Amino acid sequence: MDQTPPVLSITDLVTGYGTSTSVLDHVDLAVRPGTVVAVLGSNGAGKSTLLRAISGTLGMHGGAIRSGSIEFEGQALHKLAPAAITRAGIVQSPEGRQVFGRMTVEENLAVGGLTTPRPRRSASRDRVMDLFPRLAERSKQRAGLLSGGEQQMLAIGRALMAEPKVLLLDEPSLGLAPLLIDQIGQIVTTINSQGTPVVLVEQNAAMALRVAHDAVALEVGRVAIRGTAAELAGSDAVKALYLGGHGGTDHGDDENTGDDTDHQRRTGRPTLSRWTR
Amino acid sequence: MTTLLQLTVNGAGRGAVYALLALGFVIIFRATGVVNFAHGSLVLAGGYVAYRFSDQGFLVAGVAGVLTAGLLAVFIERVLVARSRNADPIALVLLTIGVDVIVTEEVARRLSTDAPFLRPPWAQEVLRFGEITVLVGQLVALGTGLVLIGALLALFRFTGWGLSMRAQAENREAAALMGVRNAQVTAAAWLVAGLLAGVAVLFLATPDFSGSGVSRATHFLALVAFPAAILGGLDSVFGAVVGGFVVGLTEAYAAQYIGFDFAKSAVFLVMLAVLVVRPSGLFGSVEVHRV
Repeated sequence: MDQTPPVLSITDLVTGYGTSTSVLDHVDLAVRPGTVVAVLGSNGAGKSTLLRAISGTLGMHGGAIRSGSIEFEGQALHKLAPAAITRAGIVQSPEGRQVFGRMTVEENLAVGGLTTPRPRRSASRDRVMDLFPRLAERSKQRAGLLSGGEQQMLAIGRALMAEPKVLLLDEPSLGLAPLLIDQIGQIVTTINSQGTPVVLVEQNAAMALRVAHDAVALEVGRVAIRGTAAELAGSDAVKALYLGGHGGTDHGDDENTGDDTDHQRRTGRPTLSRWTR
Repeated sequence: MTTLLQLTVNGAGRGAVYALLALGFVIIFRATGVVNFAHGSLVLAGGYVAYRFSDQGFLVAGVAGVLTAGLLAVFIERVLVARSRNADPIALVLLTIGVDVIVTEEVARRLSTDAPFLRPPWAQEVLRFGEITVLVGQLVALGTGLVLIGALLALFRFTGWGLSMRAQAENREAAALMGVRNAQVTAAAWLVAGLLAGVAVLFLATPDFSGSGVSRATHFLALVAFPAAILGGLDSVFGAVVGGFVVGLTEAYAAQYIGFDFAKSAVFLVMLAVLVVRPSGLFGSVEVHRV
């Protein structure tokens, strides 16, 4: 890896929910300019907790940052409120899409664009519509009536409306058909090639490693493996754990993108391994 | 036939005022997830201040009353409700009831046995159209109500605040992730709801509207707007407007055709009937709870 200073750096981060043991246990992560960083891991590894910590929304789930720091352009993000973090340029498309179902596609995008200066909003919107022509076709529809894939596109598009300096994507492939997953992968590449660094949290390691430059694998709240995406894709451990290889234990089969719920995450244990025991 | 028409106009005037109050309930519910039982006390506090300023002319008095109600609402939200954000919703409801009792009792104590009317320039004036007699106060109420309702609906649909408000009502976390400042949006919602309550009392506490001025009876009158919000659907702005008019007209018709003392009961009976058929109200979304 080269030595350009990272745009976003997470240092020695420890988080937890309530009084339970730590969900993230001394995690470090650096996002280099212009790159895609994949964060892999099975259910309960702490992937969404990491994104919540970055976006400042842990408190909404009864969690908190216990120690460590998150810095972006010299700003300490871990001291800011969620809205301020978004306004600083770190924008998240949350797990499970969370589009505003009772609002139209157009209105969802407008909410995303609220923090963008007015003169630039239409340019943002055009960019999103270019990227997702489906959304242009459905602009007057209620978001709740869209298909899963369309909702995912809307969730990403909504985040792009805020002109992110770093885009955080939480499991964009969740629950989507393989063809759509490929499409999401291409979209991440396109967004990144237009200059936006991306943190891509994924259970689908195959897709994530295809589009990422760097990658880490979280296991029970710790960084188990880190390196370039190519290194991880070539590593036997990653193949065994996340790519459905034949390296002993077969938990973390990447075909299985089951529900990654809060509850499972809070237990701090990967769910899939439970099935295999 | 003329009676019916006359009742309809007067009922619609009352309905517009109830709609303003019901809108307040709905806006606060959507912003905070709490039914604000202190709404009646906002009405009363606004009415009391308007009465205190009444020798300055109705305009000054009205503005003072409206601002009082609005600022009191913001005070309740910022100082009390916002600090207990993670409290059980039942606890928050009890909190608003507590505020309601304190404010209402304080106003009642200051007024002692008085129940002073607010007297706008049009008080007790009537207009005659052929055989129909209409109170000017009801026409002004209807006009003011419709203008404010229209302005609010436009605000919700076309402004950034409206968008933020609707986004936050649906999904607080996703809205925050889009840069919506939850605290500001919530405080603004309470402000708007309070201002509407302040406008409502300028009609409620007049001789045209009821037999009671600024008093506990007006406070009770404000509670009649509660069924309006419920039967329209607690989370539906449009429902609140419809609910307000349903309540106003029900009251007017019931008072005429069944009996004056039955009017309030009729309102609550209609609410119960609607709830039996549609438990989430006429326009409420079926699942009100956030998933």
